[in-house]
Amino acid sequence: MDDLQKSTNVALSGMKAQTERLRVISENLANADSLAQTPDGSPYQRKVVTFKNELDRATGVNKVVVGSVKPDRSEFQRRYDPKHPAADSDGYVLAPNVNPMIEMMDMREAQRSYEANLNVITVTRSLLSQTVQLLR
Amino acid sequence: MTTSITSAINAYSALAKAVTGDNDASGDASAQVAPGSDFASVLKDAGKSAVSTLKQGEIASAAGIAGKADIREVVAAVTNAELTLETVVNVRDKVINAYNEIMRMPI
Repeated sequence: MDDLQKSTNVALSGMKAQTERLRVISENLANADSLAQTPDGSPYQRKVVTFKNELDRATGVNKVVVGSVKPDRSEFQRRYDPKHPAADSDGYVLAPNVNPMIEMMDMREAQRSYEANLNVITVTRSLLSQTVQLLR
Repeated sequence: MTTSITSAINAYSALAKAVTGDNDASGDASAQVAPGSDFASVLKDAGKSAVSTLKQGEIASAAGIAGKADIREVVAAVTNAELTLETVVNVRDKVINAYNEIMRMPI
């Protein structure tokens, strides 16, 4: 396979990995208010994506894949809400360990990374096309 | 004219091999026509591989419309097909040009 086509494939794997990351971020953001359901229950736990490189044996290039989606083990927030059914005796409810600001920054990073891979594809595609145009 | 027609044909067949990705022959060996394969069959093979790439693009886009395929895979397959078609059209134009050149040659 042509090296330019290989780089297109690598960039595509990067885009795929970033979309999975974006999906996890959206889960975190959407569940930022998923509190505990019972006083001793736990709320939504933030998820973290890890990436890893994977050798594609067919083409001999390193692609990126999502290694695992693991729960964030940091402490849950406590929100004062005595009327909530899951409030403890002091009136506090466990809230997810999601910080919307951090999720926003993660999202921006995923977006920029996706766009970078997109640019790689645009450049390789235009180079391939221009090379073929030489035949004319 | 020192350039013979066969050398031009050899050049085209080497090009067709490059298009099909058949790069087992290297160096000066790729510039020669393999025994038993003429120019027409080389072109036929190149055409076959091009058609299979185009079909892959079609299958991928159909799966994409049905919502079964990853949008990025669809884009990759369709882009590949487009590029292959462009290459095939350009090579065909070149071959036809060469043919016309020969036909116009004063005898």
